[in-house]
Amino acid sequence: MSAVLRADGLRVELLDGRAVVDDVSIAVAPGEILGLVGESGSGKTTLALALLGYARPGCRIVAGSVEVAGALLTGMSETAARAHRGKVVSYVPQDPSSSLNPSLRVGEAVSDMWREHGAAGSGGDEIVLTAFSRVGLPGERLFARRFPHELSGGQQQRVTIAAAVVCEPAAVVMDEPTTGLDVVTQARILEEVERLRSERGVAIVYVSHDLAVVGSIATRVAVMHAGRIVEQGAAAQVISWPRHAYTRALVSAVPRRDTPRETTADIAGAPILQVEHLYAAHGRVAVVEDVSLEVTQGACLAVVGESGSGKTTIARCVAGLHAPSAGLIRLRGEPLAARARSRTREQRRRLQIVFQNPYDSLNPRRRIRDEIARPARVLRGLSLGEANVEVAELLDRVRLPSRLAERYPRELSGGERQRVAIARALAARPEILVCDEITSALDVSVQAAVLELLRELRSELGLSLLFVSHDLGVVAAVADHVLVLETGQVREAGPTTRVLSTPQDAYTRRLLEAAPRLPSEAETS
Amino acid sequence: MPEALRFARSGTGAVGAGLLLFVVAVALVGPLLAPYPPERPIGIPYEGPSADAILGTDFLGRDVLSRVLWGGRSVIALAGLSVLLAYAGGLAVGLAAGYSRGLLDPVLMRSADVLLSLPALLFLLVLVTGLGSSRTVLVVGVALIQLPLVARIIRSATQAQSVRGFVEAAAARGERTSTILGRELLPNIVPTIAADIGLRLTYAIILVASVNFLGLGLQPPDADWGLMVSENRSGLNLSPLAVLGPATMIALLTIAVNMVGDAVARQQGVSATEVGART
Repeated sequence: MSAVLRADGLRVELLDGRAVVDDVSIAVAPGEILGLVGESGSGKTTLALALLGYARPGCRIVAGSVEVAGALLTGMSETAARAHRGKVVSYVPQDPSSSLNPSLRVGEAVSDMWREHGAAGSGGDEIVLTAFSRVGLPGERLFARRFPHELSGGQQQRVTIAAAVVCEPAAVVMDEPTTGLDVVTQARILEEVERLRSERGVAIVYVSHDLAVVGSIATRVAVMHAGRIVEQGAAAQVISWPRHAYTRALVSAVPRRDTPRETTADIAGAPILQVEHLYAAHGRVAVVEDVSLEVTQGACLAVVGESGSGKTTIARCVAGLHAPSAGLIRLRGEPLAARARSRTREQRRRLQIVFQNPYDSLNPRRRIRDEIARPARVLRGLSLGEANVEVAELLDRVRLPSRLAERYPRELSGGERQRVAIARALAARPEILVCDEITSALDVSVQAAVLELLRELRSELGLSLLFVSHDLGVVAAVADHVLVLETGQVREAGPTTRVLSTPQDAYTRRLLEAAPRLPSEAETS
Repeated sequence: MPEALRFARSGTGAVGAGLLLFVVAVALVGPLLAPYPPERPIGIPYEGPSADAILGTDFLGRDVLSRVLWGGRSVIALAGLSVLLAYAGGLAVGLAAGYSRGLLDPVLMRSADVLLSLPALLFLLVLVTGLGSSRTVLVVGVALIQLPLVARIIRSATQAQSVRGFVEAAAARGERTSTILGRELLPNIVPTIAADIGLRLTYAIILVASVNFLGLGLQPPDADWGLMVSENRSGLNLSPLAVLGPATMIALLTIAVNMVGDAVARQQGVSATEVGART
């Protein structure tokens, strides 16, 4: 079948002449999904927008062409191109919570699109309701009158998809449409995308950083690196037999949950952290109910669950940042006070936390040296000079060059920042590290490196870990034991290999089924 | 170029800084250049410009140019001091209220609202009538008017920062509240302060000038731009320069402060978004 969306030799530059997208040629036929994979900064969003003949402020399309359903979008006037966007080719943005206008009802998001492009005056309301029911939303007037904040993340994303397809475009470009959604919701959105392809024959470009997601939905895959397409081919082939070195690195960086990890802590050590019948609430809403867990010396316990399962709240309670409403937390047998400030210095030193977002957890106005030296000074009473001597050692321990000590966080990449955050925790010489989703803001290859670092630190320092994550692959890669959490309650707990291979609880099974995996992995398990 | 002066790279920043430098130079060095003592009549009232008096004379026959050169100190000093005072109080209140999760926040902020609900000029009038007119009363009065506004802005900036990871990391280390506020929060709300302080200065200049215009602040025969506008306004058609001279200086000062504040805020803001853009 001939391609309905075709880009040839596309080049997008910043105003200073640096290329963000360079020499990209792709073609997508009706009823085909092209998965566009790349890490952050690879230029995939810029390319996605360029496929609509659009360049963000500060960028220009300088060479090449984009043709959709016979219309040449590049070289067209902005007004003419706008008439095509949404009608022949449309866009589904990444974050529906910020892309839907919060002061417009969701029905208007769709009817606006229709009014802009559709035949005037022909049954607006009906069109909106049909568009909603087509993407699995209730096709009711009452629903169309709701505001975005009254919808869940998954429903919001369905609304943006409904708006994108209401004019029956020949091609749809989706930019990370399921990033930020939990796995179960993600699986449902992916079904919707698949239906769009099979039932309506839409040509779809699906942009994602997640190789497993792309592998589960795309017919063909294009791998993007530094603005160029380095490899392109049938999905199964690219993922199972990657030819380009970058693709191979990308595929091998994806943590797999069926590769059994050599367990380092089979010998049951002394319990270091015990949580007994923990209850916690946000205001009046209970988010953690009767959770008990135990981390033994040198072991890693993972707490797994979807967003809203209460896993981060548990981590915060343990770190003394959130006061539990009931229950007891013990460190080496001693009960801990609810607030970090009421704990002894020694207790605070022994237990350190690393946060989810490395772009947020380092003070932007402080040098790395300052940031790392601080816990050593506050919690171990070192002098400024002594602490500074340790900074170089700690940077080395997290595999960073010591010259980074004089830098500010903004000069570091996400992976480097997360290593600094880990070094800051290590500066206190802790016995247990609480890791709250520490890899979820990182690219897969960076994530793999951080997980590797954690493994090494555990064997070098005998650290115990309480590891909070939503990613089962990551959990399989680091944890000895798993605790599965749903709406604040423990569903299942046990050794990682047992829970992931033969889950006892229905919720665990659902979680496992919903998580997309690389095809080769799915075949072998 | 030092970090603090980088704002001057933008057009607005450069023009604003130039203007501000000019007005401040006039206020500081002006008295040394004044051809006549500001309080002594040199001719008949409301004389037009001449070789002896370039800007003419005022309602008592004093040299307008000399009085303009003398009259900047009071405006700039009074406005500057009152903003400093307003920030000393407002920063403390705002930080405390913004970081507090308990009763402190509502108690402080509702008290600030009470102050805020009083009309500014009326409040100053009552103060001056009650306590007599002095520079201290003027500075404290203008500072009290500005304090709740400063507190509000600092509070919301503090609240936005207090949920960030590095603040929580400090809390988990068990740092004292004063350390968390001073070490973690304060440096990160500097862009907000930079943006706000320009606005506060502008407002203070206008307030001080208005109070002096109303005759409630500085008393004759002091030379002050606000006072001069008021004294000479009855002779506006005879000698417009006697009013336009000081009025232009007030306008220039206000505009310059505003432009500089804007440029600093934009420069700081850009680096703040550079930091935030990746999150």
